[in-house]
Amino acid sequence: MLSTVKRLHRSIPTALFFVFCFLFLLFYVDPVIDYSANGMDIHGYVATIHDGSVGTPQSASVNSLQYRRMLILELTPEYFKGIAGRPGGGIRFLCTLIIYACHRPVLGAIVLSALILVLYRLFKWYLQEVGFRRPIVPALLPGLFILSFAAWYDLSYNIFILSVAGALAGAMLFRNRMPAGGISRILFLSLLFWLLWYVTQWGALLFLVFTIIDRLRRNVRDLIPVVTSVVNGVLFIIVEHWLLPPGTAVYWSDFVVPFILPLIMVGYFPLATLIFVGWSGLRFVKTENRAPVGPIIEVAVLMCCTILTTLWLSREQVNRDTRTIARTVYHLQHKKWDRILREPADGLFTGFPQKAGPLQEFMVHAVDRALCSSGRAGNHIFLYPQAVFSDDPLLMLERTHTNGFVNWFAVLDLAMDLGMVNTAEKIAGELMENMGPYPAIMYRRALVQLAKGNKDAAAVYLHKLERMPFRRTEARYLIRILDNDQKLYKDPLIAAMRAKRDTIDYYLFNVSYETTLRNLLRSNPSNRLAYDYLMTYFLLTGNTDGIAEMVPLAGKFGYRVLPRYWEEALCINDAARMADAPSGNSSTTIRKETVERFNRFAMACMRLSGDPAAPAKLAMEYGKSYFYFSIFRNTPGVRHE
Amino acid sequence: MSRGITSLILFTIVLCCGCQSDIATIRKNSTAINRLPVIEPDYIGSTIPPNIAPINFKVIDSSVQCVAEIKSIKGSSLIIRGEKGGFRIPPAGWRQLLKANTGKPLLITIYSRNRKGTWQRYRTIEDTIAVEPIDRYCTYRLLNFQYNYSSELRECERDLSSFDERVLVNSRNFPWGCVNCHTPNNNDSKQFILQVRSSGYGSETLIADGDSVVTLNSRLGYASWHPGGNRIAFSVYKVEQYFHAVRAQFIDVCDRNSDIVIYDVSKRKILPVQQLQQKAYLETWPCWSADGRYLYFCSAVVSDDYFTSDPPAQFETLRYSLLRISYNADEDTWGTVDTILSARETGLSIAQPKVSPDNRLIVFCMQQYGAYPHTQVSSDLYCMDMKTREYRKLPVNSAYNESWHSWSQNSRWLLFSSKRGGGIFTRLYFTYIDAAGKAHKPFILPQHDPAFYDSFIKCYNVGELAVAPVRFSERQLLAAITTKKQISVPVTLGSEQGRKKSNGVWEGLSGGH
Repeated sequence: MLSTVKRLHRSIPTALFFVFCFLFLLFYVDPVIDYSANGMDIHGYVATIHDGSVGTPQSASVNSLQYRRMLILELTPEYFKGIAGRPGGGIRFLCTLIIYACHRPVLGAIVLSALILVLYRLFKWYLQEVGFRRPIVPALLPGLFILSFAAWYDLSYNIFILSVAGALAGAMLFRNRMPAGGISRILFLSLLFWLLWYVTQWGALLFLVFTIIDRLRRNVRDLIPVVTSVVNGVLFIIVEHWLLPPGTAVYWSDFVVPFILPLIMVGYFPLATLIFVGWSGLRFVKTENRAPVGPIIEVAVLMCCTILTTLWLSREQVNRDTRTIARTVYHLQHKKWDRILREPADGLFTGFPQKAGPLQEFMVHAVDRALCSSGRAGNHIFLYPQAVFSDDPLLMLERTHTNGFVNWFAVLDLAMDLGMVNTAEKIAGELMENMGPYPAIMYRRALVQLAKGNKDAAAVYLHKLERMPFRRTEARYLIRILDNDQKLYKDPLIAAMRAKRDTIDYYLFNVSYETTLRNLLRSNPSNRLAYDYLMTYFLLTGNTDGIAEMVPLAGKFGYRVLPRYWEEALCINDAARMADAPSGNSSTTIRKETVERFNRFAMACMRLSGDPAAPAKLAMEYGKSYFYFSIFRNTPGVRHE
Repeated sequence: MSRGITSLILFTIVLCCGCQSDIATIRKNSTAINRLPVIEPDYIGSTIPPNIAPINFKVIDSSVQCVAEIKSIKGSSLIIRGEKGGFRIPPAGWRQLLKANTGKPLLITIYSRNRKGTWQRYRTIEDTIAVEPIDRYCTYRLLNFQYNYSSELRECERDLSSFDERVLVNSRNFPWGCVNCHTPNNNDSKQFILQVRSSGYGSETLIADGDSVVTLNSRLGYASWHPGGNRIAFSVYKVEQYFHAVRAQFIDVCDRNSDIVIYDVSKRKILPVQQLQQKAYLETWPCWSADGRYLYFCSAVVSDDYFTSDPPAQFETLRYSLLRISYNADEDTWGTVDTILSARETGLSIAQPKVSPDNRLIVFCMQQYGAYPHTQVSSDLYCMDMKTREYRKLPVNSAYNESWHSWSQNSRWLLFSSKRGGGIFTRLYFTYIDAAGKAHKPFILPQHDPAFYDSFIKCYNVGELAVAPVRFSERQLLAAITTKKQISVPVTLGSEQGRKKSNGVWEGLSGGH
């Protein structure tokens, strides 16, 4: 009874840790976003931006580790043949399954917590075998790696973790099932090694490292496993570098390019073991004879590590920005406009507009889209940070040539919403070329082809999607109605794209945004989104003449009251055209309070002329106005309405 | 053990007899329908080579069970049960059937059982087994439909007598890699050219001759071997891409400038030919005649503002003519340029001329404008008799682009790319060209899975037929790509002399296929 209580007491830190992991994953990370971000490499992108290397071929390389880890599930015999036909296929498949489990938030959190538990048990077992008395802390620390990847929205790193787990499992199997005879041992070790090579590929090498440490620890004179390991290691190199096709071999660069993190993570396991071995001396001491580490110290160390990791994940700039961007792109994909507007992005906008790079541009783009799509841009746009960027954030077409897949996704969805079908087709194609045939991209490609009336091409994408989990229902539905134009073209997404699509030809990317948007409006005069975007474009570029020209159409698009910022732009336009201050007698009726606000602003400007602190002083009262933006070309925004 | 083997043999015999008796019953009980079945891919009425892989197909109907009977004049028929409408023909029986019946018809009868349980027999499909075999190997690029980027692009070699495919080069194995045309000499991969671009190793042209590969660090474009094997004609050009807001196929490609240069294989240097580097002309798509006495190429006249405006002025009305220049290989001298088919006469633009190995026919593409038929939905294949200079549109064309054709060594088969079925996914088709120069109904490259093309999202591109396989492994070719022992071959373009460059250095770039 007493021993049971004691055991339960000892399990408390472990149990607490797993409960924490589960809750952290479910509520802080949200596995659904992990699933949605599969293949986007958001953390890598944010990190390269913080490094200042974005846009260079190195950071954008599709040959990087990230690309080679493309993890897509397909339910076809060819897919499973591909998995079975290459070394390391098993681990890739397992990692893919874990990512796909995240499609359901609770299941995802359970699976990831289970992975942490399995890794903990295996490493703890191994450490105990090599002489650790109570290795709870070093065995639980790798769990923090998994939490970190989940919070970076890049579960592909689990490929490394799973290979380590395979190597540990192999080492323990060898340790416990090792035959007595020399030749049997050689054969058993070699068999295990090549089996692990088939399943985990490079994990087999780690298995040898774990086995050598264990054998040397127990009997320095037992050289059979060591020699066998060395021979197998040499054979591994021969097979990998001379016999396997180049695309399937393991390279050193897989662990260090673009980030050295995989090397650190994989290295932790043998290194932690070696540090312990070095600390306790080469002589093996039975675990029972070692003094246990106090459980209080253990709990304290573990709690400190967990708290520090959580703080690091939520406060550190790259981690924090990764989270903001990942959540926002998820909300953009699912058209959750209010969630985008409520996204806490204050940290990202610290130092704005002086500090305005691709991440800030992406957020401005997302907010502008949320506002335009919900018809609120004219009243609310300057409540949010706005600035003049090197590339225009509104349509963000110039931002699709870096490795920022989030930008590509955002622009793809916007192009589809606006009716720029050929732009959407091009961006979807390039996105797929860079990321791989992810179902989310393929689905969009199918929709675009359907909107263009190209059913043959759409059918190919749909048949491919039909073989992929979570998209099968939509794909099958569309395949079923493919020959029924009435049903097909009533599908809301397809119908909207078809109605709004361009009918006026021009060279894409060779004209201004204004021409692009005007052409969309000419193609379909009731395209309200194009109208809102055009008005927003005029606001952001200071084209008040454009506002004045297009304002008469506002009523047609359902605006009963002219939005605040359009009115302010009209004030400025009138002021520019007339020598006197604007009155209420302009072509479009401007509300009296707007005119008064303009006059007050004009007087304040005159009063503060020559004052270097004028922008800051004016920002306090007029920062949220178009008057302020028209002069200073940025608004700090308060990020709430 | 022996008992087991005997049981297995007996079981197989019983199974076979069962099938035979089955088909006899089905044949007897079935009612004839007076129409052909709808099958995918469409192999109805085609002429097929005697050495082609099984033409696996599926039937499109609402049947619950179907059986196909494939037979010819000699030998026993093949009975195949359909799985979900798909028929996978056993390769051994297929090979035997084709081998025994060259020049004879191939008859495919499909029986299908409907939900009511009654068997129906469609009208028999009649194909023809040609006497002449097709070249056994075919190389092609497998890539996604592309715009500006290429990340996963494979140069593959397929054994046409089976479904075996091997990768020669995978662009993922070198940074930002792209593999372009693979050009064998006279359909023999003993000598071939392979062009590669990458950010890590630059622009390379691999020239394989026997067991050695030479790596040139030059940007050279479309190539054609002189039959002697010591001269290669290359086009060098700067290509630009534009995108339309409205068209169904909205990529538009044009050459800013282009010339043709001759590479001397033994001296490893470029030999400029003044007649092929005219200032006011764009020259491209070189192709040697089979006897090596003429170099055919396409050429268009351009005005000066073509080089300075963006997009180039009148590029949507730019039309190429088909020209040739005589060449004396013994004296290494060039003659005068002769217009074979003028764009003014056709009202269309000519590209990709390919002379048949028997020097009798020349097949080329014609489209509304430009030099890039793969981006022009109007592109069709035309055939000209080289003696009479009469040309006609081949009956193999579709409403979409046809381009990138390649002759078999015996001049009886023509491989070509087509975007039929949506204009996005390029597939490879084969057509039989008979002794009278008539093209027969084309058929698609057979695949093991009858439903393969339904969900295959990659494009086949730049297909080339060859009688022998490439001798090098993927690793050996990768070693040639990543080698530091590159040979520098400077390319001088005569036509850029004295002209203001509009956009950087003129350079060959065979991208954007």
